[in-house]
Amino acid sequence: MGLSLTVFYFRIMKYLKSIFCFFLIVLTILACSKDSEDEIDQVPQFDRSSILENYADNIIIPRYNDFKSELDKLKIAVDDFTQSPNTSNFDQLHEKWLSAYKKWQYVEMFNIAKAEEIMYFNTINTYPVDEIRIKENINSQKNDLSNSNDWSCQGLSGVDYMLHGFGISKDEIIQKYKDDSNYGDYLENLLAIMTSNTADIIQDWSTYRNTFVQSSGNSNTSSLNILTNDFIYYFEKGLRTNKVAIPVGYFSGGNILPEKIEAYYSSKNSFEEVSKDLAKEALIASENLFVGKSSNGSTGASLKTYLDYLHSNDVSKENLSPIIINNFQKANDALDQLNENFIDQINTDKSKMLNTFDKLQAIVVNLKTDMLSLLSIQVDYIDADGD
Amino acid sequence: MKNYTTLYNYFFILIISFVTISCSSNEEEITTEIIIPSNYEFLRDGVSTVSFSGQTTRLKQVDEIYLALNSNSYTEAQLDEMFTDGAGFTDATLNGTGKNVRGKTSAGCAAGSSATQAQFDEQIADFANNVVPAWSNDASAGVAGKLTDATRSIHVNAKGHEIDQTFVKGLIGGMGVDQIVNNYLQPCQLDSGSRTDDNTNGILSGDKNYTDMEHKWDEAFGYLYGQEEDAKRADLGSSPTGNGTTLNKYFKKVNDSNQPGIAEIVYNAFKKGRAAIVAGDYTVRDAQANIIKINLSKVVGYKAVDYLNGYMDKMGAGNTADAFHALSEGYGFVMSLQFTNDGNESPYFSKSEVDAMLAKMDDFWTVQDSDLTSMVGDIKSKFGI
Repeated sequence: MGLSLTVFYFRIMKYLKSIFCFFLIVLTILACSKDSEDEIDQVPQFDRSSILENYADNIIIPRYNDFKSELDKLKIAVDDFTQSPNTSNFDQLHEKWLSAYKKWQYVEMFNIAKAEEIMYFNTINTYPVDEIRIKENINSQKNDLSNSNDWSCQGLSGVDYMLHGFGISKDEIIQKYKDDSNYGDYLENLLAIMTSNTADIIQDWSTYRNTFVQSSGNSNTSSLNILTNDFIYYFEKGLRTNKVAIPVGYFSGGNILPEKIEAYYSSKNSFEEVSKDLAKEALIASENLFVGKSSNGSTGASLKTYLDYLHSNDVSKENLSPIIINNFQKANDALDQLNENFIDQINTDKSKMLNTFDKLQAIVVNLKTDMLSLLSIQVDYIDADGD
Repeated sequence: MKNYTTLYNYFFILIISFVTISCSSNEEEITTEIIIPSNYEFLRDGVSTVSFSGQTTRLKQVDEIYLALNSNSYTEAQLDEMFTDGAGFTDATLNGTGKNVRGKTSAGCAAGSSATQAQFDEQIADFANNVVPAWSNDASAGVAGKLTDATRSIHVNAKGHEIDQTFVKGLIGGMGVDQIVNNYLQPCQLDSGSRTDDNTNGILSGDKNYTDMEHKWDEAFGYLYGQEEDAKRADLGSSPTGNGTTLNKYFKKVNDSNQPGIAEIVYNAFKKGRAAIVAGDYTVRDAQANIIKINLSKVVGYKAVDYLNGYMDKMGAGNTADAFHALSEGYGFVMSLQFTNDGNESPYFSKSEVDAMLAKMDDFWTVQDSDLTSMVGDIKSKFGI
């Protein structure tokens, strides 16, 4: 069977076509790289700085201030309790701890600028805590907690242990503070570190704000690229992995690790079951950032409006934001199905927790794969797959 | 063109048929046709002949040992009890089953080395005696303790090894791959004693519903798929769950990224080989065994490369704990290389070659990127990946 002339002709044409395509691609690359360097902005019409302004002025800075004011109240409650360790001061302290922890959920994702520089989120919410090291730190009256191994010995998770971890009753714990002033000193120091770091960050934003808003391009060092990556990293690691996936055993071959939930001691020793509330706040915080919703309820330019803009300009592009919002609703519904006590939930019926993981994972895919592709933003971190 | 191809195909089939018919008529024995089922299920008189519960037990035991090596609440004796005696597990169904992990570590009938078993014992001892007492101390070069960076916290020995990783990744080769490629898929198991004749003549194993040879093959299958909740589902081949902390987990990862489709190749070979056993066709069986040996060995090769490279990337990003974690996984997968099988009954790397690599990466605080890079190159070229 010899090749007919026609076939030969088609083969040649195909070959020439490939060469032509290749040159076209090379030319395109050359043309693009010349005038844009790292910039790969495909939609110059959309003003990215409008998102940055809304995020900075109506979300990030106000949310930091909200957190700071709760933290200040927590500090007062700590002062009161360490001066007079009694039941009513304990209750007050517990309540302020929870309020601050809830507000924290709205800022953990902003690991940018000063916060990133001082490893802010590691110092405030690393869990599980290191019980042994905290006890050693208390006994040795250690004040300098800057070593990275001390991240698991401080912050709001550290306060959880200090308030709820030394016994199964209020009286038992209050007695510790009465018997040994090192406990109160350590607790005071944890608050001193948190309030000082938070004040530094707010101070920094007063000048950083303009830098942040003006960096409106699309390179790996542009504000929206960094913030969006931080947001997705937080959603994947801080929310999905830490609050749900690790405790339910997703990364340990199905072996459950309920002791790794957020705010473990408050649930474990039956003070108050708060892990679910904290996870719900974190989910709301994430959705709010996506839709550009501020703490007073108004909405502005956001990742959502950006996606909507792209779709309205080119309907061949996926209409992604309704899908994401629907998936946020599903994740919220899944969380609602859970027992207030995550330890019990994991021990008795982990399938509901795994269902929550699945719903959160769907959003990770929406944000990290679909959204970043539409926005032409590169992922700047290695997968947080926890193994 | 299309018509010619079709005609050609018919002609080809015709020739093959003639050859087959002429061959069959020459043979004395009656060979049954190999019937490959759509899923991994084989029946005798309507009852399943597939069983690998012992493998599931051992894999779950490894999961618990992994957790214990992540905790500071176990003594050396308790860890040894789990590893060696198959007792002391939180999950009571894992205790007193007569199954244990150590007895199946570096214990293939075709290879096996007590010196390698001892390496696992030493890791347990090092963990219990040096890492646990320093659980919350700061680790540094030559000092066991805790190491934290922006991504994770780990507990390491004086050389920076995170022992839960070195141990379990070592067992992926040392137990999982080894038991499959150097034990249950080997003639020294499948054909041992009267097993070949028994299988050919349909003589069952005691009061069981399977022949010994069928069961040995299923035990190999179990070391890979033993923690699948439903190993009979039709899409097991294309989408392994990755359940558990051992081979299946990395088998899935390799199938998801390094070499999509590898899982289907291995699965189909398991099915076809098992069907060949039912049909009494041992040539086809052994050909399938070879496919499994080569491909499961490649899983180890891929992951060794990934984690050695991962270490260098993570050090580059300034995350020492994350990097040491990756290198610990890499160390375990390098250990596992000696348990591979290239289809010609040789490991891709011998024990002495592996020990030489381990020596070069022994101290994580001083390991040279140039050494790791050259190992990566060697592994890639040996496996052709």
